[in-house]
Amino acid sequence: MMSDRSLRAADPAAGWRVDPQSTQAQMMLTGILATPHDVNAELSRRLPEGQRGTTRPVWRRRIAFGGGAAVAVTLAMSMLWNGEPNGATAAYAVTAKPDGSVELTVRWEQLQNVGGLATKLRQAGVPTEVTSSRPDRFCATPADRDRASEALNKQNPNGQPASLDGYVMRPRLFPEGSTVVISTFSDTATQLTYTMFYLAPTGSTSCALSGTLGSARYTGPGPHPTRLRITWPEPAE
Amino acid sequence: MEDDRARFVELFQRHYGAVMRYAARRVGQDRASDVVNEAFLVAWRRLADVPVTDPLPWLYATTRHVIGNEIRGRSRQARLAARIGESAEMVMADHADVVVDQVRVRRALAELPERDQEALRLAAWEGLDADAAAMVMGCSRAAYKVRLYRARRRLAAALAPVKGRKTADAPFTSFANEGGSR
Repeated sequence: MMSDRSLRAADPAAGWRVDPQSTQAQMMLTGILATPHDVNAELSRRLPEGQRGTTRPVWRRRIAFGGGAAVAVTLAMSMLWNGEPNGATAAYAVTAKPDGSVELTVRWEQLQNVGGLATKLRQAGVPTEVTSSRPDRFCATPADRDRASEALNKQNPNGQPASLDGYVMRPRLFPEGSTVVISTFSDTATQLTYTMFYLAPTGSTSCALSGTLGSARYTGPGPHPTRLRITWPEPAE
Repeated sequence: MEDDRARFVELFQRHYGAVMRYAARRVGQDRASDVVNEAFLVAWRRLADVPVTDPLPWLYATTRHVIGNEIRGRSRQARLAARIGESAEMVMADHADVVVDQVRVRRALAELPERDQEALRLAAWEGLDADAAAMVMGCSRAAYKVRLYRARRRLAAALAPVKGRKTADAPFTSFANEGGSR
């Protein structure tokens, strides 16, 4: 029939072979599985009985971390952010620069779709994996980790901070066979949720080749402490 | 939880290709992975809502919703349209011997209202029957069939704008997968 022939022949994806086993597909799957399955259920599980309910506004406290040794940080009132996870503002921006570097700016308190961020980074040329477990050890010497800071850092090429939550990645300087890992995990004892990223050998996300960057957010129920002591969970040497 | 993961992995592996092609047909191959990622993320978060039997129409409907949100939310309609045009040009370069009709059909299709386009694409490109296509479009089977009928007439008119020719005489007829009337 004319309709079959003409319209089917005009299908722009008719000859497009899409493999669900491809690296792109598998990374997408991994990223999705790393996100909370049911946001409301996850939150309810974290809250004590009697304090459940997600409709009221939630003040979130977060702080962004730069690389380096383990740090203890006192969270000041000036760092309070009004969490608007469903706000219209984009949670992140990924910009590929002409020199091959990739700039990432994140509003950590709005970041829910870690898989989407990983996809954006991969599209910009940054190999990226997603995990829900923290790195348990360093697998590079402190000197090598310092060198890796050229590849993954908060500094721009002029040595100035890119922005409060800005990071610069230079895939050409990544150690051979390495990838950026975005790790999101929670500490039920402190009600803190960490989003951490670092360089790791491809396929071995538990071992960090670089210092760890990222953010810690208080996601517990109110009333909230006005000051909160956070210890950044660095991997073991 | 493990059962959910296993079910989702199977859902993803089985339908990733079809959903990618669905997205690529509407926003271009370069934007398809973003859209599909969002659609499957919705499926993962709302797995209980995904039909166990024949989940593909649900996935198509979700993908369509993601595309609609993206266009509305970011005011990208013009840019997306441009990308679709670029995609067509790329295909034209690859298949120069047969593309005259293809490009002509695509351009005529692009001139139709979005709902007409979707009705035709679901039947011709996704190969859905009327029940599944109606689910994707969020309407009744009867409404879909009417919409498809009218879309076919409009496409025929756009392809054969000969003065004095009646669109009812246009050479577009039913698709094999549409099924009979109920």
